[in-house]
Amino acid sequence: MSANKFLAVIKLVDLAASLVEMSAAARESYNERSANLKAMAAEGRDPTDEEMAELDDAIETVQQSLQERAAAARERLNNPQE
Amino acid sequence: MRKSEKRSWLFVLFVTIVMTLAACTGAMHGLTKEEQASLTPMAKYYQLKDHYLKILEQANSYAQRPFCTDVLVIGCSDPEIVIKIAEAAEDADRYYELAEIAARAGNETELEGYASLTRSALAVISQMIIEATLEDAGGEP
Repeated sequence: MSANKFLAVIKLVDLAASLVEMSAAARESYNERSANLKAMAAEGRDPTDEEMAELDDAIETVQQSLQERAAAARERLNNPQE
Repeated sequence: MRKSEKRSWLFVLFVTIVMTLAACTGAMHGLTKEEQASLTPMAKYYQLKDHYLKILEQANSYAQRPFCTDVLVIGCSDPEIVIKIAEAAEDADRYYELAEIAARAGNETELEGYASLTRSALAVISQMIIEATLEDAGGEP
């Protein structure tokens, strides 16, 4: 196998892992939200304020982390020598 | 088949899988067709936000890798892609906020429209992650 093919295989494995990668805590939260959705469907109800607030908090945390990383990326591109 | 063609087909295959997964959000939550149909507009909006969070977590996972400009390793992130992903996430954020307005008004048609736009923006994020990960892998540019 050539070096390029070997590299491609490693990257594909890495990609597949990253797509299914989910921490135990994140998986638990996801399963909990799926259960909430099933309950909403069964009861024909809207999400409660608490359910919405939990989701909003989780989104805000990840959004903030992503935006901070984007700011770091801009800094890195503007100052490549640092 | 040339190496570049093989790479293109591989890329198309991955994008198809990811977009199919994105389109089948209901199935991903383990809902039957009947359950999906009985969701209220706000519950559908909740489902959309949950999908948004899931893609955002994947995007953040990619973004938190060491920058490829700093280290030459497998599993680094391209700063330019990180910036583009963050911008696409802001687009998705705007669309799902419009979806919320539609959901609160009980307007299913508008909700579906904005949900579709949100999912498209999320698919762009997934595509960028895939493209960046496959960058330079296996051959010609």
